[in-house]
Amino acid sequence: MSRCIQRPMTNQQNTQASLNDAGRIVLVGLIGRVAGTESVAKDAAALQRIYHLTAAKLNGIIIAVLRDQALAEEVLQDTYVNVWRHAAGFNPSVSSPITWLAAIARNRAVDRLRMEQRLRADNIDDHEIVDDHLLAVDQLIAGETSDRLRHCLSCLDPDQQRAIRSAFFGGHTYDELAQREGIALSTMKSRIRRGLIRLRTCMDEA
Amino acid sequence: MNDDSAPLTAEELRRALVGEIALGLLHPAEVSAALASDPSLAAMVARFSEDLAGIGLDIAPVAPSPDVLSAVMVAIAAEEAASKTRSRARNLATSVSLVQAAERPGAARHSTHHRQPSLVARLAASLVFWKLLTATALATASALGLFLTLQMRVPNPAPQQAALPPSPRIVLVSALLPRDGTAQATATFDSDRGRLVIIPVGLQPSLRGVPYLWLVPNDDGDPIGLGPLDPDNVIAIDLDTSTRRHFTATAGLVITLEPTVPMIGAAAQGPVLAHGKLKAF
Repeated sequence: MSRCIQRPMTNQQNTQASLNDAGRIVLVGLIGRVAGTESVAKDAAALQRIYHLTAAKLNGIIIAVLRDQALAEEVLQDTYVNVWRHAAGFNPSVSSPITWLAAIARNRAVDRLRMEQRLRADNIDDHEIVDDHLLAVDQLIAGETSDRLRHCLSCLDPDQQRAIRSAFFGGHTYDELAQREGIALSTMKSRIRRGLIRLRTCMDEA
Repeated sequence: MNDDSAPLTAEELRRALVGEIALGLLHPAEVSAALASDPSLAAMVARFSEDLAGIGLDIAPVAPSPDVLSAVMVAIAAEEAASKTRSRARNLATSVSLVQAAERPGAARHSTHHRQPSLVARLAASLVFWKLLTATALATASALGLFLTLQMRVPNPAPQQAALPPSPRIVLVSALLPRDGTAQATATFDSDRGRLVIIPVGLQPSLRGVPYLWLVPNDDGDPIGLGPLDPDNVIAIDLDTSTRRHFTATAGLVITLEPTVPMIGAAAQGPVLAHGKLKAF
């Protein structure tokens, strides 16, 4: 497997990194307040603050998976209720708060998608990708993990990128992905496995 | 150049497996088997799942409707209320036992069973439910006064009804309102479970009596006593088959303030605090 070399950060990226750090600190503090302690009650106001900071971002992710605004809002609600329940499980030493939240949202959305047993005819290529057009608040909370991931994804072959993105947003199984691409199941498995290995290696090295 | 033709090593396959699980590519049985054979994978999967979640951060944000935050706050309030209920179970059990003590096997119109609400979070967490309640509350406000003149009475026990054949699931909701239109409680009935969940919203504790819930059938039958309410807590009531039959669209729910918990056959004594009609969900 070839290595994907992380480029040095530009001044703009350094500035963004500082913003990311500030956003991370704010969110980590808020999630801690939601978690509460044995002596301090869980803080509903902190959950509201997290909601205001992140709801549009998580809603966008959920809509990208479900393609249904009404269903997405139910899943979004479910996501924050789960944040309320499981905030104590967040570990800031190993997790980025925004990716922790995004993982909850994405996984709940995929669960719901499968529950609804809806067939997805389209794929992520139809979604609007807005790397350079994030809102200010989103720039604040889109942490360095996203930058690193974006870089590492760019190191993958286009076929690998597409397959992983399609699996992420579509909740597809190997069989479904192979059918959608019109290739053999073994080919799809090999494509994704090698892509995931390269992605993991790059993420660990970056 | 990548050597994509070379066979993967055991370590590479393990890394791929973690990613496959994180992406949800594998069948649940395969995931269970993998995690059972190597429990250390779980932490790696969680980490990879969070890393992959960064893919979603490039998606354009979409502002949700204002209803969502309201529904979230209601849902967590219901969870907290349920938590308090558990800690106050002994107090609540005192009033519930008054009803249960009056029940006998075969009682058809007063045999309800209060439970701690294991499904409260799910019910309260339904955004559709919350939106519908708002609409229902407005619609029900126009029907004020309808039940004020009803003479309510806890009916005598009747013979046990034969088991009914399976029927389609029906979910009914109602907002119970007083004269000023401010909701005092919301109710949801699920025919599949035969369960009625009451979420107090504005119901106030009173030293003058006990808030008591009644079902008013739409066949002009006697109101059916369902049990006392706790203004501070969500209550789930498991209904017997006979009582479930009366939960139909346009049937009514009424809350009165009773000086004491009514016994079987007793009429309602206190004033009406709130009322509302059931509507199909």
